[in-house]
Amino acid sequence: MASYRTPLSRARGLGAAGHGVGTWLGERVGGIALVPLCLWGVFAAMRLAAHDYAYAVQWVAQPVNATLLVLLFAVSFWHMHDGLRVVVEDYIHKTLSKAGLLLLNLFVCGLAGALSILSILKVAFSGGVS
Amino acid sequence: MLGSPIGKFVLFGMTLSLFYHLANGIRHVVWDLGHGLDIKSANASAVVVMAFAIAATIAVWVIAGMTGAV
Repeated sequence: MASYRTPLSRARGLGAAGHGVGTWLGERVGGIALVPLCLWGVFAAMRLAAHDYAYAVQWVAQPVNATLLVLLFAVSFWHMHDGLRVVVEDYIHKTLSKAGLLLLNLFVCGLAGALSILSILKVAFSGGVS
Repeated sequence: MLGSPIGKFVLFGMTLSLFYHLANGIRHVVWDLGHGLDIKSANASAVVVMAFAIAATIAVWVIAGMTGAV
């Protein structure tokens, strides 16, 4: 039987994209992961502040520290992206402004995350020599 | 730069903000699990979160001072 609905009308009638639960859960998982990571981060910052540059370099070069640092920064910027995304979605309603700000948010958080991870890995792989 | 008085002031503020955000995040997870949503509990947990943030920040800076980090 022929459908009298246009393709656009059908698409509009489909409603939500259907991945809201995954997005919602991802936000919580990131936040929960940051609880131990941030506590470790504060502890680490206190230790590093009490020592000199050479100590910091060899500290970052230790695999456990480098791994936790990468996780801390990666999850932090992911969490930052999630949080700012919700702010934009809640308060910006003009399609073009919203799309632009969501893209900007993703790019800035992605750039900051990539830069921080590369910096940690650079010290981790070349450190200890200084 | 971070060792200057202004740097330390900013770091202190970041410590306070981090602990406040951390505790309030846990508060939100508890709400998501369906607990503490009545007004009385919500008001009480707000006070707990602020008290924790202040106490944890002071504790970190006291320990940092004792270990020579400040």
